[in-house]
Amino acid sequence: MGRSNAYTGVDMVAQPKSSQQNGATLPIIHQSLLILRKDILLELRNRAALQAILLFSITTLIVVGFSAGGGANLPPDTLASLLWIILFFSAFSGLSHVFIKEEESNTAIALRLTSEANAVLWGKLLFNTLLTFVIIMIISPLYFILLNAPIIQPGKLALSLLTGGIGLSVSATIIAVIIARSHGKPALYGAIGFPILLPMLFIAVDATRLTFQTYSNINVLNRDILGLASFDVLMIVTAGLLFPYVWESE
Amino acid sequence: MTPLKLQISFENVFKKFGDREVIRDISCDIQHGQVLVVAGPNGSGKSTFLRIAAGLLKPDRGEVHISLNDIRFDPQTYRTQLGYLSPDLTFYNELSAVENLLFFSSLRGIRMQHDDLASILEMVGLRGRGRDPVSAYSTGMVQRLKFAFAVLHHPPLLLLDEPTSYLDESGYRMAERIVKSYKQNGIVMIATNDPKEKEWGDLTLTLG
Amino acid sequence: MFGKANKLTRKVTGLIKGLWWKILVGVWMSATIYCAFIVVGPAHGFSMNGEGAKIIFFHVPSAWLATLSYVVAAFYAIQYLIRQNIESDEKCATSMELGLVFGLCATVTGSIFSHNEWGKYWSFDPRQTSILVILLLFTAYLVLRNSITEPRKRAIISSVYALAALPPAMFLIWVVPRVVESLHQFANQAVIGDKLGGSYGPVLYFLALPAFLGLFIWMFQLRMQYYKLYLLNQKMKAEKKQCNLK
Repeated sequence: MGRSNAYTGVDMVAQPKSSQQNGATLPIIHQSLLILRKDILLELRNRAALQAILLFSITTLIVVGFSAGGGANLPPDTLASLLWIILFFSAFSGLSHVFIKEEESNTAIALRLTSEANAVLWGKLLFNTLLTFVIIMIISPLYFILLNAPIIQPGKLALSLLTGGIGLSVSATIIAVIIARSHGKPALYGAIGFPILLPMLFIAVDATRLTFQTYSNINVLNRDILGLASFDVLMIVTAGLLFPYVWESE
Repeated sequence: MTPLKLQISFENVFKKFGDREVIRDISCDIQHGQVLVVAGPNGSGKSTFLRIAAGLLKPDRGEVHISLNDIRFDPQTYRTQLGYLSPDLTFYNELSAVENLLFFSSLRGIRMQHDDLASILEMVGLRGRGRDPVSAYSTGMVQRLKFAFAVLHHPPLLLLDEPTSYLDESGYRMAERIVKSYKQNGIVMIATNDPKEKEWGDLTLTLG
Repeated sequence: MFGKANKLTRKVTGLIKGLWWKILVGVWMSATIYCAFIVVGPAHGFSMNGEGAKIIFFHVPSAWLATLSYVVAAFYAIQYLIRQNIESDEKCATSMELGLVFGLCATVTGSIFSHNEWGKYWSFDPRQTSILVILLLFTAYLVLRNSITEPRKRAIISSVYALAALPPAMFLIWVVPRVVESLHQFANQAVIGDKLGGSYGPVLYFLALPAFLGLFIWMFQLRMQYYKLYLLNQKMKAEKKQCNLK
């Protein structure tokens, strides 16, 4: 097919692309990676979500650190809860951005015209998970330093943060698309998301708490982490099933 | 390349929003090579009709069938392969025109080379402005970019909602050229109130 | 599967005609109250000379029914997404509302019991916090629903939200209490069952639970009737408007 004159003059209609004839489209994974790349590009140019999350999390961290009095011998459950509170609210200040922005600037139409519904979900989910991991990696070390938290079991700690982080991001993503597509007030985002995230947070806090203790029940800890991982899988499947209904609604 | 034969048929299509009946029982058949003009006063459902044809909305009752060489698709499946242009279509303002086009074409599985981009920008009259962010474009330029978006994958089915809005004389001529050549390739549907655009049609559907 | 389940639910919730079964529910509930306070003896080791345990007859069924409400709501949410009929969505909303009502009862009775037995109204143990989270869920659903006016969009968004809450709800009900040690552990079935006398069991399962179930079905039906009347009202208004135009 002639490249240089494929679009000019009468040759405008040159050769129809063969993929159009048999209805084949790009595989979903490929499409989601493209969407991920586009969102990363937009974020690097605009930095809105990243700035919001970073500002929020660092401010909260400082407030918490200050009021906890340098974290002198805080009990493990308090340490765990405070960390997850910071992560939870930071996530909620920024993870809705991926969908709210598409909705506000109405670019959702162009996306719907060019990609499969679930490609959008997986792409944005990957983006949110990446964002969540970035936050966890920035905030956790700072947290441990500022509050003198003991790192007894780094491996399990990392696992609990990992599985909890994924749970946080998947839940936040599906809630974000619900709020965005309902043209609801973004203020509802936290209220709607809270009951969805709380059960997972219980387990995450419990798991993290156990990693702060020297003699903790390994069975319970393992069960917690497995529980978080299974929640993540369950939530991902649920999001995949439900997303098309919301995305394609009017 | 086997020649494509496109047909689209609407059977008793009905759509309402809340209590307002917007599309009331419409049936029609459009054959390959025809241009359908959907006309009617404001709010009569022209845009809605086009959106249903594009698969962006589902009708409450009735069916829409798109058949390509006698293989039937429903609009939702066919959506990524048709070309659509409308006032509410928006691009990513922080990205440049070229980045937008590259993104959307790669989602469709088309790899556009530098030459392809250059020639499509040339065709819609945006030569040399490809690297500017869309936020810097005037509404007329955005409209031209929308044409590029609609035709970059040579779709057999082209749906245009108010195609010449914001366009100057040369833009108008570009639009007319595109409609005239794409109708040979398949079917073009135009929703409009502009009397000159109405002349481009072989068939007219009047709503309202 | 939906066909059969639907027939059953329609039999149970939609069209039980007549006054007879409502009287039956009333009688059953009265019997429950009577038995709970008068017939069943006091349980040793509980507060108020053993009478404090009697609140179990109202606390436990309420909690069960709150959970059942959510299950019913999830069922109707799935049904809406598959069939796209607005009535299923209304049934989902009805269940959620009833869930809120019963959940509130459960929370209040639970904290009264907790205060009598252990001195504090609230301890934030997982079981108690779970019921609070479920209450928040019902409330969030209703708030979300209220923020959308267009019926079809509202139905889709509500159903999706109700179902998105399914994994967390399942977690809340089954996983969380087992994983975390708690106050409620002292108060779980086995322990209470031992301390209570033999007559508590039958009264709870055969009197209290069916009575509450009957109450749920009655309230469900009432709410659906209200909805149908509302639809009728809308239709009449629309027709009147059309007549006026002509």
